[in-house]
Amino acid sequence: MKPELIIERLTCQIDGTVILRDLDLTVRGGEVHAIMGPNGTGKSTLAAALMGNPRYTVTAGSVTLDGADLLVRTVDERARAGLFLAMQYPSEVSGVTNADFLRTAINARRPEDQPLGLFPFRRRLKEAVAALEMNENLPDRYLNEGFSGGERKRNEILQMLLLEPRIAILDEIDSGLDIDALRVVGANLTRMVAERGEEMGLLLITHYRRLLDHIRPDFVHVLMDGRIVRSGDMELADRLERDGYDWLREELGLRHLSDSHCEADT
Amino acid sequence: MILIDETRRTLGLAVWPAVALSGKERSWLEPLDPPAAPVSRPQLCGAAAPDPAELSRFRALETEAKHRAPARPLPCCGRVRATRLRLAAEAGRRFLPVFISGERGDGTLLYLDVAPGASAHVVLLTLASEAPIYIDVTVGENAHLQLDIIKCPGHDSWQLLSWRATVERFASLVHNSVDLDSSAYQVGQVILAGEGAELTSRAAALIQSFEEQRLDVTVTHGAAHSRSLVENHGVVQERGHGFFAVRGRMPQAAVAGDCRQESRFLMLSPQAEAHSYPVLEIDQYDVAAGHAASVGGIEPETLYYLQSRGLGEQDAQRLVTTGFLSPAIHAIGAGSEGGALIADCLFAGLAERI
Ligand SMILES: Nc1ncnc2c1ncn2[C@@H]1O[C@H](COP(=O)(O)OP(=O)(O)O)[C@@H](O)[C@H]1O
Ligand SMILES: [Mg+2]
Repeated sequence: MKPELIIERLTCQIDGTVILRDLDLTVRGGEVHAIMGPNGTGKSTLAAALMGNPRYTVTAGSVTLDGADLLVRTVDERARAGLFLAMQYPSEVSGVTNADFLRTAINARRPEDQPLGLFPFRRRLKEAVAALEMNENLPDRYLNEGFSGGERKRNEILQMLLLEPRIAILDEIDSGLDIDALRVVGANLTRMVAERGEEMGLLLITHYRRLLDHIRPDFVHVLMDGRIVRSGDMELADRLERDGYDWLREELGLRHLSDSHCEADT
Repeated sequence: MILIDETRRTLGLAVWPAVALSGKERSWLEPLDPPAAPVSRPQLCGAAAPDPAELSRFRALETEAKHRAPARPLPCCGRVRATRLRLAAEAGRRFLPVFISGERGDGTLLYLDVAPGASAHVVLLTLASEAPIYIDVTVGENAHLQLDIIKCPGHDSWQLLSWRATVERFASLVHNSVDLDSSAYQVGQVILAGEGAELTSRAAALIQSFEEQRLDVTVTHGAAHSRSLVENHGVVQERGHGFFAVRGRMPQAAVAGDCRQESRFLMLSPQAEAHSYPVLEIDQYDVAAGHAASVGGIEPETLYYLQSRGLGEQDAQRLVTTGFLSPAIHAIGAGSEGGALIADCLFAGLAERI
């Protein structure tokens, strides 16, 4: 079945500060969406609210995945339902090797009596490590410990390749990547989008347009002031790259970022 | 002896010879199953019992007096049966398990001499051992010793153990201590006596409710270009009590030395108690030294990250806790083929307990 994530009038806060207001967005299998927006407008908040980060509270609205309420589910239930979030700042877990962690994560979504065997797992892992041009010793290193920014980001994509999500959200996967790494990540994403077809929907959160040179979105949305203020296609991303966000602020009658911060504080 | 043979089989160590020591006996145990290649027998013999002055050198330094006295201090007196084990330089690296069981009665003292240029992985496994254990190690020039001290899972008892090591020029000592069961009081004193001598010492302590594990490590950098890293990790459950004291001493002789220590506790309950005492005594400008310590619960962000990959809350907690204790266990596994088998058993034991 083609996955379908429907976000309606989502309002979300952190520590009593409302960050997202009445946000609407639908992502279906086979679609690539990009969410752009200036820093601090709530892009990561959206990702966190969808994944169920306990620090964020959804106060209104609904989110469904394939028609079922996502918001009543725990974080791990959401993951097992097919949601994946490549985090902007992935955690380090000392003492847990990448390989042990990945195998546990893969087996968590399989029936208990049908775990993935060690050898098929090692083979898939090896292929994915090679595809992402990562260091061969990666499986035996502790999860994200001592990883460079770029290594962490690639490691997020590695997990995505192996976990085969239905809806994948990538939060600023391009930050901290040099040109070569960006090309590798872009190529892997493009290949995965092609291979999985309608089985997977992709939501790219990015601050810069450069990632979109490597993986072309079908839809581009602008998130500002806690909601999606404009949707379009690649042309919109081009315009934002060229002219910045001020023209959009003016058109929408929004105040500048610094002003909206003051408003949020009061 | 039957108990020891059983343990050798459970740990998968049947193809290796072993040594068994207690306050009453000392024996060389031939392999239970035929070994892949013949193994030579190192020199194992009795030694003169130490006089009180020598025995008192196994006592921990000042922390005992300054900070909460341990529930059971290390007795550095009484009758002791001494043994000497000499490991010569050989073609390969020797793996040797040493079982120490001292139910009650006399203490056990093991002199472990590693000849210059030799390489060995010695794993001390303590079984029900209420009697004190003393280990006196010499790692000769250019020799390499991995000395692991493991409280054999499932043998509940106090482990009272003190080990001293002298590491000569360009020699290295790797030490890993693992205790997943009951209370222990372990004292370690290392002297990096020769130029370029190295120590890496790790501990993994799973401290269960109403148990106390106390580790006290002192490293003295007695020569130039010596390096040490002490990394102690403890997981404290319910009403357990953990105590790590680590002392790095860099006298004038420690030119261009490097001395690092880290003490971390993962607290699994608000009633759990832990203390760490990091001390650095530095008397030389040209050194690098540092310590890190932490006491805290599992980071909510870490749990969230693991859960976002589909792990249930309990599985995520278990993974973090296992990971927290795994550096020492991984290091045991990396020491030799036999070490890898022991590490597997320790991980299985850990999974049963958390
Ligand atoms: N604990 C907090 N309390 C109040 N505001 C917060 C807190 N954490 C983050 N914010 C604010 O939430 C807003 C959105 O943050 P975020 O979603 O990370 O933005 P983006 O990912 O778009 O850069 C920012 O303005 C930030 O200052
Ligand atoms: Mg962000």
